[in-house]
Amino acid sequence: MTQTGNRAIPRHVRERAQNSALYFALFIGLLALTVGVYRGSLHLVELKAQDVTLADLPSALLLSFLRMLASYLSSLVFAFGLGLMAARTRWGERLIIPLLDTLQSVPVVGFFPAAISFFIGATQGHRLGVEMASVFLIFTSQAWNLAFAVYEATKTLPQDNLDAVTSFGVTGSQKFWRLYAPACVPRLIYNSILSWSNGWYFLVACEIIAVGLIQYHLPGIGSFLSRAAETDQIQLVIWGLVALSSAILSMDFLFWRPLSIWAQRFRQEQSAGGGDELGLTQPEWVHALSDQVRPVGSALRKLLKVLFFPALWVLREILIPLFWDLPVAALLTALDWIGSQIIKPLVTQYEKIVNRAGWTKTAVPAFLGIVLGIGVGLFATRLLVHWLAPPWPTLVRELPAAILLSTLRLIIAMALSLGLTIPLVLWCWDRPRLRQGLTTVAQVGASLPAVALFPLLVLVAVRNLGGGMEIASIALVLTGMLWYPLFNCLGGISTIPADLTEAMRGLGLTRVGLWKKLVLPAMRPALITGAITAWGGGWNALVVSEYVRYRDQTFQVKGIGSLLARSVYELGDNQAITLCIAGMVGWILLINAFFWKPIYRSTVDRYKFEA
Amino acid sequence: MARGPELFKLDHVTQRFRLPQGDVTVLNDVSFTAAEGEFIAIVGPSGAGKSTILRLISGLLKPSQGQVIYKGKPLGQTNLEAALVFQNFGLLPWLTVAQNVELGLEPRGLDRAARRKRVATYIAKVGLEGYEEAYPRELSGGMKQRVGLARALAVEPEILLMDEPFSSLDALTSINLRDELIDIWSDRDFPVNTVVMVTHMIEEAIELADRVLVLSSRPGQIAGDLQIDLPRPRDKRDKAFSEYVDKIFSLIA
Repeated sequence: MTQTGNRAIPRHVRERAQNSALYFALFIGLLALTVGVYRGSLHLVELKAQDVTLADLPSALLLSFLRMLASYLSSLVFAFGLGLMAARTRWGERLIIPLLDTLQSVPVVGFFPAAISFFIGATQGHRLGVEMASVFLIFTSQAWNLAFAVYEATKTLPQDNLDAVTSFGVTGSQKFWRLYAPACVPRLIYNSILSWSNGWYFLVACEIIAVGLIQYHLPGIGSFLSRAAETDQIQLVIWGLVALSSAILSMDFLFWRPLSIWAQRFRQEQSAGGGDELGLTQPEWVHALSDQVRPVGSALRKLLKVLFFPALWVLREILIPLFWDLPVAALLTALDWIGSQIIKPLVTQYEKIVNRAGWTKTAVPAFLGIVLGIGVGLFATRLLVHWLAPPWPTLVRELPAAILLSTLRLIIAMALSLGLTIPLVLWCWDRPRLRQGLTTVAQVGASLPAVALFPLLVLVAVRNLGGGMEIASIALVLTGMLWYPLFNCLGGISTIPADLTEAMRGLGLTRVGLWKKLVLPAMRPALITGAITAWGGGWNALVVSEYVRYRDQTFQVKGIGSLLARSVYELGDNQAITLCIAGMVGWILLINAFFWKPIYRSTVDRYKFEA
Repeated sequence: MARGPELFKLDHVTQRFRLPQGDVTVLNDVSFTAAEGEFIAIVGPSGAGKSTILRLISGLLKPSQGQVIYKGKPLGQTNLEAALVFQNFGLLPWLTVAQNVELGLEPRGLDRAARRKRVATYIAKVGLEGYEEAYPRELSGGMKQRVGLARALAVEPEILLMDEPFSSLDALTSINLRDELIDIWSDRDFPVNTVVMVTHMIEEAIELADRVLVLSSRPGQIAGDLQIDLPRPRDKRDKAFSEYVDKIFSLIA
């Protein structure tokens, strides 16, 4: 075929890129100037823990929100990049999905060394670098989940839609905006709610970056709560929690609910009950109110457009032509050139040889594969040996017992989560209003950081009931697990078709009969998905549950979470951190492969509602 | 309709798919030539690779062996001269009727004014005026397929590829739409005059097509190639019509 080999970067792409490069240079110059002028004030020597008062609360909340926003936006870009690559290419699927699985099970403190050496190191300890490190840490609690959303949504796109778009010649960024981005919207919104909850939950860990003696305390709601808890200012903790809950609730009402309703139009009609159904609706008074404030709303929208115009302009005129259109065109040209000039002659030559001797067809790739495999293996082993060379820190000897203890703790917490979720869901499944309320509660509950709850827990449970830190740590882990099965099951039961319920009622089934025959089986896939998510979340939450600083004292129980926390916060030993994470991640992946995946597969296929 | 010069041909095409259970050969050594202005129907049992042939002509698939020659050149990428109509419509639920119809126009370099004009013309042609701003979910099946048809016609392709276009419609709707398709196709002003339609309904094939290709079951091979010499409009109760039906039946069975 001769069509290939004549592709060049299209002229309009080149011309636009030239313009954009000019703008970009101006932009960077301006930025450098600004940074230069403000450099002195950017460099904060002291990022130590400071005593907090109620007056610090508003600015703390705002700063944390901005960090979350920055992290969320970069997570979205990351999610689209990696998710699409995983869904659309064969190597991507084999490579990216296991990678995401692994990254997902690394707790946030596991990323501390990377954050410190990269961001803070690169900016030599400037406040900006610390902020970037913090945003990166929040990113590690938000991004993977969103990438999975993009992957799943793209993967389940009907073949007809893909073929239609491709056959009409829609390619590149047009294909993205017309096909992929809209197709991902419903799933992405659902997972975004989880990502935000997760981000808030781990905010404490992300705003206090500490490895051994190096410590950076950034002002924010996370560090506010932590400091207030540490210094036993219960009132401040409660105020902080109230502020955080109201922020979460207002985001829910102003943002996620309208978005979920808007997202209905992006849903494929054929797919039913894909698990991304929240059944969220606006209460009536919101409708009434929104009718009242519609003129204000449209004015606000105009204002937003004006405010966002610079950002959109930058996106359209600088970023997209320079960093998307040009590289893509260049890459295509380069691939084309490589294909026609290098690979093709090679292949032709190779085929000539192969045709002469049939056995080389399998032998040559096999040989090359083995050589490459040995090379990579040797390199990786050397790297690992270098990193993990004995003498190992003494801490490591505790590793197996710690993992076992933590696993037991998680099993108890899991049993408690499921034991609480199932009756709650059964109780409210045919009471839509209650279901709504509970969904919101789950969303807020999932967002409240464990550390902030600790003092309250101490007051209520530990002092009165006894049992000490062991009970407290299970309760804390529960705060990171309980919400997922609840949230998922509430979504799951909202997909039960109404006519099915009616048919069952018509057959004369009692309430208990309905639970047994309809509700429990129908919510099983959601329950399993929720349990898997909770299990993963639980491992991440261990670090903040087994090791808590309170009133200048450290409370801890034996377990992998406290082991990891100790190696990060107290020892600052990279080797110990690596070993802890390796042990933990390995164990998590093992359990996933041999326990959760088989259960998931057998359940999801059997209990799906056909469209 | 007069048989014109050759438009495309499948030259010893074999198509295999790699499935987890192993390789499956869907088409085995299929060759045929299509002339400009022909209305070809491809019939065969399910799994015979009918839809695969359409996807090969549209360039969505590359043959495992053999070549698809379009206008004398081997087809290397998506065939922008062909437009597809899908059994399940393939409409994007987040785009309005007008936006769905417009889908193929931007890649073909039409400016905004020209696109608007095209969209209006073809929405009118399929009788959907007034529904421009509706979303697919608000339409009935027949109306959805009209949108699919308008989207394909709007790019004014040289060849229209239809994949069981009437199978998901109810009987009455599909009769109406078939009649309209014949009207559009026989309109001399209309640029599209070559059609390849896949169907599993033998009567539909005989009613519409000049020529029927019969595929045998997996792997698909051409079991028959019949010229339908009946005047239009065709009547199913006609004796010659039912002879064609019997003949194709015997070829499939």
